[in-house]
Amino acid sequence: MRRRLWSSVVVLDEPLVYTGTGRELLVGFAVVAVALVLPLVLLVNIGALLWGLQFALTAKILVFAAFVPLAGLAAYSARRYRLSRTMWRGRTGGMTGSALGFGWLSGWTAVFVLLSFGWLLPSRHLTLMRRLADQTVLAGCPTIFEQPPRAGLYGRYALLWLAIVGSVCLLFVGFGWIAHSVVRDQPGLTAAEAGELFRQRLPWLLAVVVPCLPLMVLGYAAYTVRKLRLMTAATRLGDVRFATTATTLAYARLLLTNLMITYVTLTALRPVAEARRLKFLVEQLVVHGDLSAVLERSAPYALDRGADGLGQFFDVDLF
Amino acid sequence: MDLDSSSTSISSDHVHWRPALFADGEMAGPRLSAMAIAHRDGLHIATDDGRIRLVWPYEVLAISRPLRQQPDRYVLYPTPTDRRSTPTLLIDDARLIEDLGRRFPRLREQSGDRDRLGLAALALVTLGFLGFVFTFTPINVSKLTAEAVPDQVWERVGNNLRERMVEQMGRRCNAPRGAAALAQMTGKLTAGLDDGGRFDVWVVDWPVVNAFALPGRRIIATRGLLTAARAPSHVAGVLAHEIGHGLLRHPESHLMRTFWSSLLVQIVSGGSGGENLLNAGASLLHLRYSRDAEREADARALPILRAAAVPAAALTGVLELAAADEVLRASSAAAGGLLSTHPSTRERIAAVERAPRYPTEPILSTRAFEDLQRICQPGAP
Repeated sequence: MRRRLWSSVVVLDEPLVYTGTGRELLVGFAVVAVALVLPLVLLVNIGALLWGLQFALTAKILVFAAFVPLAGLAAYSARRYRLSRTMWRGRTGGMTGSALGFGWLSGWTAVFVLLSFGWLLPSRHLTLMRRLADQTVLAGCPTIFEQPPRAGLYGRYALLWLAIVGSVCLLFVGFGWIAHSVVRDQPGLTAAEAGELFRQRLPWLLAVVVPCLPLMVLGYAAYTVRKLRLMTAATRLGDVRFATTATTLAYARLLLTNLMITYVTLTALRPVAEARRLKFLVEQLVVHGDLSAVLERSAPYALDRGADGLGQFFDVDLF
Repeated sequence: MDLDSSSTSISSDHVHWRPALFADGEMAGPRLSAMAIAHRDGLHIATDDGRIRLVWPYEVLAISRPLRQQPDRYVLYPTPTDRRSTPTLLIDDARLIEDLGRRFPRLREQSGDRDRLGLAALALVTLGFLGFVFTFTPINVSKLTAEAVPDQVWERVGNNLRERMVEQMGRRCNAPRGAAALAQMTGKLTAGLDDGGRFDVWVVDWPVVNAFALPGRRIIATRGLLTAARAPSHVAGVLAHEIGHGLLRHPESHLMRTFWSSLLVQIVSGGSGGENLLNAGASLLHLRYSRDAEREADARALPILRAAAVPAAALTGVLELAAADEVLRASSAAAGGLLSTHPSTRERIAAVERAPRYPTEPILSTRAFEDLQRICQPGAP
């Protein structure tokens, strides 16, 4: 899949080449499964049998907490692996930093996001994007991330945040109101009859909550596009700068159609959805400056050839 | 591999060099014009300026995407690739593509991973072999691993599972006289066991007619069973059968089987953890043992009943009652009921009828049996 998709991306009349192999992915996955996941799964499962549900739940919480920085480490490792297996005119890419460092950054920023009830999420995104972009090398050329203005990002995020929180509150209030109305209107009902009446009134709640879903999708699309614009504007490759022409509506349309493609087919066509997303991002990308001059001036970069076991295990996007 | 005088012989073979673009990977500038030819020993490449001439054997050749008949651009490169830079050849000439496809058909498949099919075949063969071994040979991995676990561990597991089941099914019944009667019955049934191991039997306030064996020699009997029984031997028969399962470690084997398959699913899916296994253990509630396991438990139960002077017919007593009584049958056939987990087969009844006769005596007095049947009544003495 990657081989096919990479070769469809053309830069300066030169297609990208993916040189990774299935064996590498399989071995990486197996190593992570045995060395990392198996002990954790054994701990939770055997612990549950020996010490009961309380232990299992506590262990699960701790394991989940450990998985947050691990997911960051996995994302970084996956990116490094894919860049190292991506060739352009025989030059590969990679990451110059430490996956552990990124995992640590990912972990503690996640804590702050949690403590702020999600308000610090845009800051976290920008922090992580900056770290990734500053340590990325493409075809021997390092990228540089210049701190972008955050103007417009929090505004759009606030809309998204309010849409999500509002919908959840509406759901809870709606449930409570329906339950209260059942008890108020028909006080002498048995549990079964009350349940049946509750179910009959439930569609009213869905009629109010379901229209919020497109709002959430639009809000998410608006935030994502804004983030994409900031990220591309802040990234440069030598003197070359980038921009994106993606719009909120176009991205929202892509999101909705991809959701339908993925879930109607029970994820069987998920690769198609991912390919559409890649096509969208690539086609909306604009390059300002002489890319060929920048690339010709660069020298090959000797980077580590990382593994993608952790990335494969965490299924860090399909690619 | 550099070209030698064999290049002259190539020309004389009347095969033609085709245009291509070469990059050595060191310089990221425009590619160099080159000519390439798919010869029998590999892909020959020569740049127009004559500085670079080499041969890439087909065995090391990789391609950016599978070769197709329709015109397209392909990037060819030798493997393994280098960390820094790798020479590549960009081709889009239809004749060269055709020649390559003919000389090295593998380029038409997903190339770059020569061992992919081999790995897949090896994995299939291994799985098939393991499946054959575990299905058709006496090797029972679950049973082997169950026996390797110490008894104390199984007792703890059984306690946790029992608590989980009681949470789901209902409260434990423990009226003093009923509990004493139960202990008396259990004691008589297990008195003749060689290993001296104890069985811990609980009664749970659940209307379904059944009993369950848990790991660690824990047994749960339901209020429904006690109520349905017309004689203490009916209860004794069911308990003896469950004791048979316990002695043969059927609950432990089942749990190990569930454990391994759950583990595999969790590893592959990165999914949820222990409470699913606890719930899976609680699925012993709905466990339907294989016919072999039922046969083994019956065979193990018969000497237990004989040692306790309980008639062998007690083994199937409740099942026959359920078959005859419509209300009882409905209750027994409900989810988790006796009939749903212990199908009454003619074979089981026939085996019981073949058992030799021996002297029998009531395992409980009438008074004690009544106390046992009232074990779940609130306020019962």
